[in-house]
Amino acid sequence: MESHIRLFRKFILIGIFLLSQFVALAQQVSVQGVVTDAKTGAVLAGVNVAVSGTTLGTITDGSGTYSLTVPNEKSVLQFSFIGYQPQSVTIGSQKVINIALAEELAVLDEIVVIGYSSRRQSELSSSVAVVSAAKLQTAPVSTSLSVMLQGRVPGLIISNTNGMPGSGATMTIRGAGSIGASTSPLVVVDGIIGGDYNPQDVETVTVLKDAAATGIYGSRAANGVLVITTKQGRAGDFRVSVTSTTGPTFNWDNRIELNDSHSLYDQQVKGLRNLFDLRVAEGHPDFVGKSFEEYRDKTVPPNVVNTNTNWYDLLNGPGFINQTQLAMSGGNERTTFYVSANLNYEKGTILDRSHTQATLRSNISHKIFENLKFTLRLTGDYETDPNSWFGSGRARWESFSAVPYDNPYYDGPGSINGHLTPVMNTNIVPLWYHYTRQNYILERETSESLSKEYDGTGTGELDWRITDWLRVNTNTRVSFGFGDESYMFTKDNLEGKTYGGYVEWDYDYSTGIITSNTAHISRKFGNHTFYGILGQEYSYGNSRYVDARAIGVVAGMTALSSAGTPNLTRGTLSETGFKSYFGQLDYNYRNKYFLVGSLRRDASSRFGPDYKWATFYSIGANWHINRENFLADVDWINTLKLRASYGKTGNANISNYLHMGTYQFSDRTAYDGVAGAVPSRLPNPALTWESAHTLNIGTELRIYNRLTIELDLYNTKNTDLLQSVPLSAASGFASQQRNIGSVLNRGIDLNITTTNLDGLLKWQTNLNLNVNRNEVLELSNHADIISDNYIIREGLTLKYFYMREWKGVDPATGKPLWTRWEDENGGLLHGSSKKEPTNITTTSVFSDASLIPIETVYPDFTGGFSNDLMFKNFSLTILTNFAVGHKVYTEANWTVHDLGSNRFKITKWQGWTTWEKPGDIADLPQLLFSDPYNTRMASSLYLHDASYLKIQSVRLGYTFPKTIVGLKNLSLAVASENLAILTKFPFGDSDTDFTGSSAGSASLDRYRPTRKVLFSIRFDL
Amino acid sequence: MTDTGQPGKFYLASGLIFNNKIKYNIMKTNKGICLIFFMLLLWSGCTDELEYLPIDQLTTNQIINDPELLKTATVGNYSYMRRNRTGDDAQNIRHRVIEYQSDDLIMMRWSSNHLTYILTYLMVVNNNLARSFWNIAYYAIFAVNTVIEAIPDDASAEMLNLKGENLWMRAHWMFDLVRVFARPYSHDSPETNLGVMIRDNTDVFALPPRSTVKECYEFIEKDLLKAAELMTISKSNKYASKEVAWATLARLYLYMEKNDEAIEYANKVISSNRYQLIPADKVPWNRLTCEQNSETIFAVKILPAENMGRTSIGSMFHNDVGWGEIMVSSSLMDLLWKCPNDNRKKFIDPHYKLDANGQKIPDPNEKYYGYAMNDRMGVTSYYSIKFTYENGVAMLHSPVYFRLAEMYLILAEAYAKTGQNQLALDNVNIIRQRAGLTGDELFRLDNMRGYSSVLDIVLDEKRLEFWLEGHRAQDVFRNKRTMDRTYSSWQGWSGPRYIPYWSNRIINFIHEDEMARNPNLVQNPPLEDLSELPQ
Repeated sequence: MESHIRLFRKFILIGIFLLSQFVALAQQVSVQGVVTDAKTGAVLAGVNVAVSGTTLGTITDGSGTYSLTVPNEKSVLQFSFIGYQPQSVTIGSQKVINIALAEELAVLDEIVVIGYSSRRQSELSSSVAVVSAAKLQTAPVSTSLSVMLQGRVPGLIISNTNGMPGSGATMTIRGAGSIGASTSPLVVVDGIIGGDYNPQDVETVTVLKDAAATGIYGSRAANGVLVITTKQGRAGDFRVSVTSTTGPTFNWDNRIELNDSHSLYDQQVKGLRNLFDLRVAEGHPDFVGKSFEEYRDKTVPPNVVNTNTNWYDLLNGPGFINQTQLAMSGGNERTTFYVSANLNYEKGTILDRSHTQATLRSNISHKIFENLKFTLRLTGDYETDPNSWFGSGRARWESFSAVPYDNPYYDGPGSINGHLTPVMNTNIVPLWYHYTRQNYILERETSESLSKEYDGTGTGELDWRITDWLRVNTNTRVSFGFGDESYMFTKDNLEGKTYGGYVEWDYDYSTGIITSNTAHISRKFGNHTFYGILGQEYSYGNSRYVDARAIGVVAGMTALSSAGTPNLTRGTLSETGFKSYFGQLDYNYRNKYFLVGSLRRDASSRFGPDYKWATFYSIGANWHINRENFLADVDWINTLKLRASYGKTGNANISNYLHMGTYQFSDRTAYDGVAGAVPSRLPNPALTWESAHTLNIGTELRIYNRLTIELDLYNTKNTDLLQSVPLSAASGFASQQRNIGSVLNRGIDLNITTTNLDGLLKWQTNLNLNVNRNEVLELSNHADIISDNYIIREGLTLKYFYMREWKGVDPATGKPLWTRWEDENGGLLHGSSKKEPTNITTTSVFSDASLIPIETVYPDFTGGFSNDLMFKNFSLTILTNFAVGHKVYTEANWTVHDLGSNRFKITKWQGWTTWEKPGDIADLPQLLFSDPYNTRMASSLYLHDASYLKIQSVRLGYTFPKTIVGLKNLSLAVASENLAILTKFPFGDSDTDFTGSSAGSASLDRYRPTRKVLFSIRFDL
Repeated sequence: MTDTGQPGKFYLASGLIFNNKIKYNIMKTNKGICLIFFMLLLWSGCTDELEYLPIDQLTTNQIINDPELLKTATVGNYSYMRRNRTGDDAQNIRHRVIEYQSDDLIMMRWSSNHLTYILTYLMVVNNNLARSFWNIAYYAIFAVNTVIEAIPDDASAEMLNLKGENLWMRAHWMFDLVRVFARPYSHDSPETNLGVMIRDNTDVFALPPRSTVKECYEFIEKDLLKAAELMTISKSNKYASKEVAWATLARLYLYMEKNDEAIEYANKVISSNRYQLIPADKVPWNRLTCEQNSETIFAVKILPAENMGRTSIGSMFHNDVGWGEIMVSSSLMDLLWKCPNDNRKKFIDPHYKLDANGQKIPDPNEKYYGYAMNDRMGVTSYYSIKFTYENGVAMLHSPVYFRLAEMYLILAEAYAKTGQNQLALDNVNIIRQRAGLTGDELFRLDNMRGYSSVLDIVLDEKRLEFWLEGHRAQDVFRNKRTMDRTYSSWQGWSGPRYIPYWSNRIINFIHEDEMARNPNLVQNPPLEDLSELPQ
């Protein structure tokens, strides 16, 4: 605290010092005027009016007027306003100067916030993409920015895989550099790494893609950087804005056909009949001489069809979404503020799941002195999820795997008020067909769970413009997060029965601090301009949790204290820290040739003492060809730029402490009530940063003020890839975190924006495209890394399917066929042996088939295509996105191997055929109960082409031209999201994760993004 | 702000902006000097070395250099038998891989769980149960080796006892491993048949090949002899002791057909007088905790709070909380019903059909109980309570690995194999008497009750006493007999009905993942077609 008092005193002193300078200025010319929009004539409030060469200035008030006292008649007034071209006027003898500002052609030379600093777009040597708040307004409705950005930014690959209320999408910039460490980009909010934000408060998003842009973030920027700027009030422009979006949401599973009782029974009987006939033909004594009917009726009695529960309808239904924001902003020349409150509620399309989120933001800026600005940003976030124990997928999963023969209420079908069926008690219910032997309806009614989350951040920024060429900035954020989850299971609940019911409370809290301190130099010597940044950064975070459980619940009481016996207590603490020093120097000559270089040195607590520190760097150049004399007369070229950059950035997105070899304590390692410890990790003291070495060459061309083409070619080599490597059990450990080798991503980002019509009807089109090629260059000892259904091997992509190769159905027998590789002695060869097979044949015995590398997980190209149309006050936005050429592993339980989980009709949408008789050319083997030939085991049969083109959003808006009943800028819109998808993928929406860590697989019952029909209203008061 | 005990971490936050070392009048002087000071402060304020240590973990060095922590590590080593680190239920997996090949059980239907492949002798190279068991065993062996290496042979008696406990654990895991992945010792020829990897050190980069069956058994024997020698301190039946090592040796020698040694070590256990057979009136003993059970030589203690409910061993065998999908086989029922007074029938929990008044319905065709029974998919609901209701709690059970009755039956088998038939029957009768059998229900050389061989009597008695406890499949195969599954139900039962001892199907494949990670391993031979056999 003492240091804070000292700090305050210091401000006062600096203040007095600075004030003494102002007093020295003695002066006496008054000038005033009104600032208007050159096009519409509307008055402009909040326009910055500055006296050139001095620190004097003011802003226009609500009626657009200003008045100012200036040193003398030679003074030059500079008028500037965001979105307008600046103007300068020499006062002379004028006492009244009225100015009409012309709108700036925004796309031409926006100010781009690139993290520690901002630049005009024309000055950038780097590959960045900017998404403005205006664009975000027409984006899909979500509490997640990633969902809103899908298809908007070239090279920013977003897969929207989850329809769970409150969930987001996965983001990858330019291909997967790693699958062992996170591929998510670094997020920077208001100039400082990390932080909370509500997408509704976002002013701009800048995506930094190449090393010239990300280099200054060094250690943490290997996956690219997302720079987010939140809204700020404008002086003299007091406004209250209300935005509300609301509407129903729906599942769209119409591509998946489920059996009802009758069709399921028919399918199962078919499988039983086939098996029976097969066994009789083999002469199996269990079957010979017995009647098929007896066999069938013992297994699935015919009366099962008397119950026909539609679990899908029971567990799914329309949802509802409402997002409302109230924001207030304004200020005067010294103080500006932006305050907002958001309330988001989404009722899921699965039973009982919903998400409520309330956020608050307050951004307040105050100029303590003309050149010393203090900004305070506060955020608060509260989120709650009832029934959290059931997770995002449980009801979805039950929708597809629960069996129509089972009735959740045992008083009979349709008896919703009847008793719940306690399925484990076979004395009441002789048969329950769902193989998990769980009744979801019973489970939910005999349990309670609630998850709550509270987060807050406070950021203080002090920006001191010491001279016109020197500025220092210090920016510090403290944050906390608090999670509170509680569960109660009664003794009638399967989960609780073992313990006579139990109550569990989990608390976790985390705190963090990050401080970023920079000095900025900006100097001009003739035609030479320099910008420099020197900085230091430090961050520390910890998280701690406590989890307690007590057993023996009385009468559904939910307090931890109301349960009888303590059962489980656990908790631990985890810490992480980073420390960095960095610098950057920008140089340009005549605004034609630009050079940028940066250097950053980082340390992370996640690595051992000798491997903590690493150095990262970048260098970039930019040539504005259209500013050369030889193009001076070519007026149809508006912009022509060529830029190149190279740099090294890092990735440390792994868990804490992985370099240490440790013994760990947990509730699992105790024995007989005594605490015990077991080896939990193999040490790897040499574990170090993963690095990305990126070369980027790009060009930007704008012609006729209508067509803009941005093209970037990049080549990124990720070295020292962080990966958890599975080990032989002989080592004593399942896996070890290692730096395994290097991978190359090379590709093209293309962004084309055209103004097709620019009259009464305006039509703008944007196409963005990313083509990426991924290849593993080198692995330590050249050794493959094989786990589950994937292989990492030199020469293949980082994620590559490795499984048995499906070779169809044997037309003679109806058995499955897989590829078998044999060596010269006829012995079985797997792909892991790296030997060329002498003989390639097929087999119907699963264990005799070869595991071979099949194909890559990654798409050939991805992108987005959007159209914006405007007619008078109407606007129409159509967003589509696509990904082409990737495969997804999705296992469906085709065969009747298990009477509980074969709910899918296999021939409806997919058109697949099953083998019936010799000679049949079929997609699937003969239906055989118990799957004796192991068709269901992993093979390329379950790889499906997941290419898609999705109409992600269609939005029609109308903005009222004038104030309606006191509402300014009133606009209305109707939008539909996830309208349609074009794909060959057999199980609905194929918008799955295709570059992140879970790329390549999608479960059939996943909670897909929902279809939404939304109405929104927006106005200012 | 939280005090993290690491000074300097937050010093930065407050100290970096200004520090009282700056005199106020600096503001009046050159701004450049001021800036330099400012920057220097930023840089020097950061004293955090970023060396954080986890608070729930210890380093291996800490463990191996501290006798107290070696005890803690040993407790952790016992926990592997209870549960492995990923949350799989180690004891349940162990039970599935060693018991499900027996003829004492019948599953009501095909299950997509990989246990089905073991149960039906349709072994596959990607059986995840076999993989889990292999992994748990080797993780445990690594952990055990760490403690063994850390205790020198001249340590205190207490530490040597600890070393002995760990040696026993290593032997126990190895014994289970060779059983699941390698042919029995009694089969031709243990000198060349492949066993499992021997791990006797903590070299994490070693990729050992499979040793022979003989080498594995000798390794286990050596560990057990040393363990018995080192364990001088008396410990409860939840922990290893010299009696536990002797009991293991008795079983090991029996499997190796070293009958004299088997007799010697079984007698050592019996004559230690530490254990008494449970009195007949206390059968079924599943309600007793291991502390209350005088017969238990070694059990893995499960506390009520650790009750694994639907992932416990008993879950498959009883439907109260459990899945209740595996019932007792008719061939075992027939054996149990040979003597109406056999109190081991009390481990069966028959589920009767009830009429509208809640009364049992007489059914003369029901040959065991005489009442109509419930069934599940045609399999009569003869559930077993052997693995549930410890202290009356559903699914609570502390698995018993060794109990005194086995020692008597080891004696019986070894005597039978060495032609000492009277002694063999005497030991069988000890067990039968405890089962409540008397008079002509006991065996005499002149009253073999229809058996023609004493060894057959011993093996059937062992089945009666130990059904579902993990002995049966090994007893059948190591004695070169054929597993008879002709009782099997037809619900998805696609496996062979007779499994001869020489079949490749009696052991598991090593999982293909492990084969890929250790190129020095050789896979077990492929399954042969048994359809030529009389089915």
